[in-house]
Amino acid sequence: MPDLTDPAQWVDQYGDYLYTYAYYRVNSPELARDLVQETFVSALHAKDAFQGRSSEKTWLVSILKRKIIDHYRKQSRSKEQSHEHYDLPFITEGEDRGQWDPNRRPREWPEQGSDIDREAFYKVLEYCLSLLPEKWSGVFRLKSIEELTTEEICKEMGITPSNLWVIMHRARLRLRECFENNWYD
Amino acid sequence: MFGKMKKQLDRLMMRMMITCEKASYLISKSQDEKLTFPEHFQLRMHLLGCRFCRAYEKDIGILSDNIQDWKHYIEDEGHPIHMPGEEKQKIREHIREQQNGGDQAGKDD
Repeated sequence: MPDLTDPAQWVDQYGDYLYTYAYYRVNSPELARDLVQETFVSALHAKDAFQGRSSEKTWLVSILKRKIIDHYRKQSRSKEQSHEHYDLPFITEGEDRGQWDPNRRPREWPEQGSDIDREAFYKVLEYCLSLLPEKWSGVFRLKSIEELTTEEICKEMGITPSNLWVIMHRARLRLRECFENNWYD
Repeated sequence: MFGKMKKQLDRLMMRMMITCEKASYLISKSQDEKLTFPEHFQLRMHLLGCRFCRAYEKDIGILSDNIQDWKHYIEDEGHPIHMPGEEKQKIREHIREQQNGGDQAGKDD
């Protein structure tokens, strides 16, 4: 059996890494902390099963990742969805139904130089991601950050591929508009 | 004869015409999946005549690239977020309790 570090050392060795990993994915310091603790507890109970095929760190990350996916699933199924409402940027009535609302038409974003402030830019990105309703956020993050396949996401979240495409579509409309208003303005 | 052909042509045009809402949906879908041939064709026809959807397509591409950059940034160990010391201490104690609890572990949660 491969040697594992004494679990008492885990917090010092991997605490910040796992916390960072979770923090960016769940948008909440408290939740990130809880997920890290749960990861260590699960690892403690499963450490006899650790095969040493991957590094200890990779093993812990895989446990954390599973917990994050579970969190997205629970969140998307909970009845207490945030009621944040987003009107799509299209005309809803009359002859021009389905065309862009004239006040919200996309502008072509200018070329971005390499001299932009990446940190500030990522803050805007995090802010915009935090505006997505929970269900969209989970699906969008699983697709574009965790890079799960459509089939995997549908299975995890209990949705159909058409549901997924509609959610991704709305999430992108929302994110693009948020970016335009908060970065390119 | 001519009228009948025009009617058929109109019907064909109608079938190919899509709204900006549909076009933006197809732009999004094309980021994740391969579009079917009719979808691809409808989208390309629409984009020929709609500069707003062309802007949308370009913006969405930039957005995706930026999200990829961000993903690398957050996974790069050069940008850690530090867990507050007292939280670490609580987790350390929690692990110790679980270890000492042996078979009892988890039962007193």
